Amino acid sequence: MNAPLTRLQTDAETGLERQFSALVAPEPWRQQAFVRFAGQGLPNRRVEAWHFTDIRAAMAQALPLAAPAGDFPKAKLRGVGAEGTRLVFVNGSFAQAASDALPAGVSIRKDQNAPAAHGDAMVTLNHAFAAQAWLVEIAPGTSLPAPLQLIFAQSGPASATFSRVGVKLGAGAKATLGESYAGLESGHHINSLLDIELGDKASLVHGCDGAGEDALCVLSLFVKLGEGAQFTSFAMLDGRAMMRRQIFADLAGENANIALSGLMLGRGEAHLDTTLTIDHAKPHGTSREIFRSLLDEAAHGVYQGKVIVKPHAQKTDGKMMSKAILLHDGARMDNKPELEIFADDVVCGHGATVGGLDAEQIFYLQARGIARPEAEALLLEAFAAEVVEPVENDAFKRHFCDRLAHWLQARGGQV
Amino acid sequence: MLKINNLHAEIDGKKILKGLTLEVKAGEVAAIMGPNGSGKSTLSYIIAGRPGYEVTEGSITLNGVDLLALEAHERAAAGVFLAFQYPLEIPGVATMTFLKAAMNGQARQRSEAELTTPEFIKKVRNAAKDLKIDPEMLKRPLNVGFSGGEKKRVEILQMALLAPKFAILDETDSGLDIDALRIVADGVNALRNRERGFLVITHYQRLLDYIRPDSVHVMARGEIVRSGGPGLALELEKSGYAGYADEAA
Repeated sequence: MNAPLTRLQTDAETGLERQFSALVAPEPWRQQAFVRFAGQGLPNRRVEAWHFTDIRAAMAQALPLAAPAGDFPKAKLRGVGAEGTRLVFVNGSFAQAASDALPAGVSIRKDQNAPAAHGDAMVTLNHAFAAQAWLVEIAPGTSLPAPLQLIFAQSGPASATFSRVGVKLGAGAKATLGESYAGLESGHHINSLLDIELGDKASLVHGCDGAGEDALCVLSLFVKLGEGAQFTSFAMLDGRAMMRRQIFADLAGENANIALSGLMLGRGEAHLDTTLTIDHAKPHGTSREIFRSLLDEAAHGVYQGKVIVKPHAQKTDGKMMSKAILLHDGARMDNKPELEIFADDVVCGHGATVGGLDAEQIFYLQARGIARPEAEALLLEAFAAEVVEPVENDAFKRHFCDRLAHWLQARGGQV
Repeated sequence: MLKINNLHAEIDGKKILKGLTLEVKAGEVAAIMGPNGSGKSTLSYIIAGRPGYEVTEGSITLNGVDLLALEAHERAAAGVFLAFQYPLEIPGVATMTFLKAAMNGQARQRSEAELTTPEFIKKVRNAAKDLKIDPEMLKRPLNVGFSGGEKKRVEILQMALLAPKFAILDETDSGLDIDALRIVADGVNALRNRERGFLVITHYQRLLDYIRPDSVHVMARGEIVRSGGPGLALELEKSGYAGYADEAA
């Protein structure tokens, strides 16, 4: 009677298995990672953290692995990300020729260390397939005047890219880091992993620019904060792609401060997902998560935020808010904020709203002579400004404001 | 100027206006008074083009232009202005940004040149000064955190800047103390001229002490039931609406 339950493999899963067995002598830890992945399969709606983003259903085939490429035409990188010192990764490997010279106090090298195993299937898949890992180190006490721009570019026809980059800030270092994606227009599969570690009292402003058309992207961000470290991150996800951005934040030192914000701009059949876990492990930590979504046409937005306060993480101060505006009957938003609090002396709160544009406000603007598309653009820009306006770095802010203005213009309204 | 003929309108199947006819001539200030629930605000919304109402019969024209065929923003560009009883708060949109969008929006529709930024700022500053509005306030989001009096003054500021052909004031006196009322009324009176028409909607006679009407119309049960000169308002102040209303508050 106890027939063994065999999970049926999808074509994509079979393809991934075939690809992995064809690899030449992957490190043992990569092999172990693949075994763990194969035990789970691709994330699907039965996996709680992936309930709204069913990769198993979305990934019809495993695409061929992207061939290593040493260069990328600089012209194709124009307008990608904000200004700054560019570090370009093409198909997952560092392309020195396409990159700028590194400023003093910054180095990059291959990282030969095995990453710590993680329960997430897409992270595990990244560990298995990323052939190279890179580590950018910012020396203790360094204060970088210009942003570092990590640019992940895809070359060639539709393929799968697994990139793994670590960024380590020494104690007291201060920097601004961009994370941008280019060349995502021909149906690529992107599985990118960025692992940031902030030494004591280090401070990093991070901006992620996730634009993609017709791609399937899983962008995982790990961030670990030392004592008194400060991490501020803003992300803009837009396009018609399926894009999941997942953040795993570990407030490992006391008095750490994390502020995550983002704007998702969905249209067409876009599926945009921001999922984050904040782990307050030490006392006196502060976390802020503020997200806005504008969803048009048949776009689907997902926000999942989990804030965990460990038993001894007293005096934690956490606030989380996700607000979405649906601009079309076909658009949809799933909000799932969660708090798991095991300490008794904390201040934590969360909220989430989903609604349409306010018809009374639209009429008021129209009654003054502002045509409906412009009236909508004014209100949407104001809504989005709540997360774009506080972006700390001016170059980032300009970049994101431009991107937002383009998105609004494409809808037919101009402010 | 404004001609409303046999106007019937309903919302969600409920008949609100039942054959209303009214004419306001160029240069005329017409007051509409009436009990609560008589359809006064509905009339102002229908002239301005608020969605949700169904006009089942009748017409509204401004200088011969069929307003009912136009969208709200087109009516504004055609010269209609509604000073709202409850001006909307628009978080995140600075008052100056809004004013510029409105003025340029109308200019574009009329194929006129848009104002340059210095011209715009100068115009706003002058108009704000007349209405005793602190220019700092105009940097704040539109109506957010403004007092009742400030909101009404900003409505009149918008009216002054947009220079409509025809202005409707919907219960502009509500929520105003006597000083604010005087400032608002002075602002309105400064805009009176031989070309511009006004429709002043009010429940109380008080406003009409400050904005002297040329004609007074009593509205009840969705139509104009009596019309007269300024003296009619005083008469109503004494007698109340008891004789007109079946649903007076």
